[in-house]
Amino acid sequence: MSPTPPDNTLPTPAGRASPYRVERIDDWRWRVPRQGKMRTEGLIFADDALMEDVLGDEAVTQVANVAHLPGIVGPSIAMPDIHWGYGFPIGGVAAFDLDGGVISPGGVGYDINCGVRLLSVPLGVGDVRPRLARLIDTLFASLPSGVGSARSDLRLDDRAMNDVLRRGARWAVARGFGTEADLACIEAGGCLPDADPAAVSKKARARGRDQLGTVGSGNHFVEVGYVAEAYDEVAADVLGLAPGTVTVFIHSGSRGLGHQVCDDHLDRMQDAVKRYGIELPDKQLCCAPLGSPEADAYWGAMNAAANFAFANRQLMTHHVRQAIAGVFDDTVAGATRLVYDVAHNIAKIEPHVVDGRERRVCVHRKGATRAFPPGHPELPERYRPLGQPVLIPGDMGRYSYVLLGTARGFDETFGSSCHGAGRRMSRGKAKVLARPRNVPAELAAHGVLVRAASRATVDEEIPEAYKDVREVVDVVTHAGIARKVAQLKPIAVVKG
Amino acid sequence: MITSTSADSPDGTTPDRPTGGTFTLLAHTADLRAVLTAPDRPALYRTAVDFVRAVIVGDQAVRPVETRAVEPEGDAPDERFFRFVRELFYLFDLDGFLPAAVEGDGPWTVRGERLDAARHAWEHHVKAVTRHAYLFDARPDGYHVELVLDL
Repeated sequence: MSPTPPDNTLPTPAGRASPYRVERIDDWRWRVPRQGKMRTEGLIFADDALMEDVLGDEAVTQVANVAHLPGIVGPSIAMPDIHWGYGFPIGGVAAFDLDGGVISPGGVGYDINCGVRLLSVPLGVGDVRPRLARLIDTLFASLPSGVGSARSDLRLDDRAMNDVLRRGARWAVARGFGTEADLACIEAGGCLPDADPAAVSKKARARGRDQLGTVGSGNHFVEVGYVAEAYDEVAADVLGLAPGTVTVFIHSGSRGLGHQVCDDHLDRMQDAVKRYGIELPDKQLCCAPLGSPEADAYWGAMNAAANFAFANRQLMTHHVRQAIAGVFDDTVAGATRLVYDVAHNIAKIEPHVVDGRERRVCVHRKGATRAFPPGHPELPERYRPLGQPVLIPGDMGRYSYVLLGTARGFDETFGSSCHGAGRRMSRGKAKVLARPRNVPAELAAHGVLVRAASRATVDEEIPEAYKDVREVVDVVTHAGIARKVAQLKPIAVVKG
Repeated sequence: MITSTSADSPDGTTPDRPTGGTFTLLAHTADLRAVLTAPDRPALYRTAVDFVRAVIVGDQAVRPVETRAVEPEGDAPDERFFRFVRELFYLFDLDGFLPAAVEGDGPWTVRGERLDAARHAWEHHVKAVTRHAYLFDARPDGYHVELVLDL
């Protein structure tokens, strides 16, 4: 089915892809007014330049499509790194009433709990440069990356898999792959309590059994960098991000296990949509009423897959520390601190004030990062006065950012912010652009070493394939839904 | 854009018997869109095998030395086809199985081999076959299918 545009549709400002009308609210916000069968309006965060990109694909239509879903509360929200996704746009946030609302696997995405983890290494960039090649080669050797990456040293049997699915990063720490201090700095302590391993299929288990501790492919990576600039030195110090400090970014998720969970439950929800008479503008938005058997099954499986992802990033952290110990020493490795770990593909049940009263709602964040404000009880005590760290990786050639959540963001976006640069070029086009070039040599000339399983991966991920993450971050900070703490610059990358 | 006339050969290495189907791969923002056509259902399934193989390893030869059984799932023809394609990518994800040819009309026997790093270089890793904009059009003169793959 395709969305039915209302009769009085006006063209978007550029008169392009979407049949839905868009209105400017201010310099950083755009409204998609209720049109046709939309149950609420859309709210897009973007400046003029980013809006041009947004209007170039189906993203606005997807924002409007999400607004058709039953029980949506508040607007259908899109962050400035929004781009075309499956059903929900990537960069989308939508909250649903527990009574009358729905849960949709398409609102979480295939890579359940795809997320980012940042480590702070007690070394200055000048200490690392002389041994950087050795460090990145060690990381490349110890963290399987690329298509079909798997570990030969860890294969989960059914019992261990159930433990991982139930306990997430806690499973890893209990086996010596990290510390209690790590857990304190992971969203939800690295373990979501509603996980139901029985809701994870044999197929999903088979796909994930040897993938714990692997990078994966596509835009996933492990990146060594340093703090290039601190915008709030006090906050940066608390986070362990004083200027010059070396950092390690980890971007990965639940690998094949999460993809299979999504597939399995999309199948079930195709039927649920018919059973519950839910009218959808796009099949990929299939969903089930919260509290229904289909929703409960997905909820249990999604939380289990999210725990798998937390365990994956915890295992990767262990291997990063091992690499640091090998290249530097055990003291440096032991003092390598987890700054924060946060999901950007997930659904959570959270209390938020809607229409003047506090309600528990199911917040879907797909390519959007939770960004809780100062004082929120879910934050680690050390960070509570600051707000939640929001980790925003950019492309491999430029820079990344660390932000903090704000009270305004909590009120306006259900405590959410952007998640990255956002792709602006197809993989195919990027490959064509990169074909006559030697991209690793270009990056090396700019001080960034790259290791990857294949040339294709590097070519597809050239910096030009992404929006400038600074533009994305500027929008969320000007709009007041997050604030900047530090800018990080890459010096070596293992690409997935 | 890659447009190919699908082919299916007894040994899976030298195309010599056209299926009559075609597939076209088109770039999508971060992913891949595919259009498949075929004059009849058996040709559509043969074309699907060639399409999946092409996405994963391009035009590199794949030998039909192992088999995998694929059971039909789903009530309607569009759903059965969708799940068949998805299963082919799953088989690759599970143990590197590359499809070369298919026999049967549900259940199917898929012939192929496991990826051999010495002979095969991966072109794309498909994380999922999406239902977004999935089109399965059965016309009197044949089939027209559109799929979007999540890479």
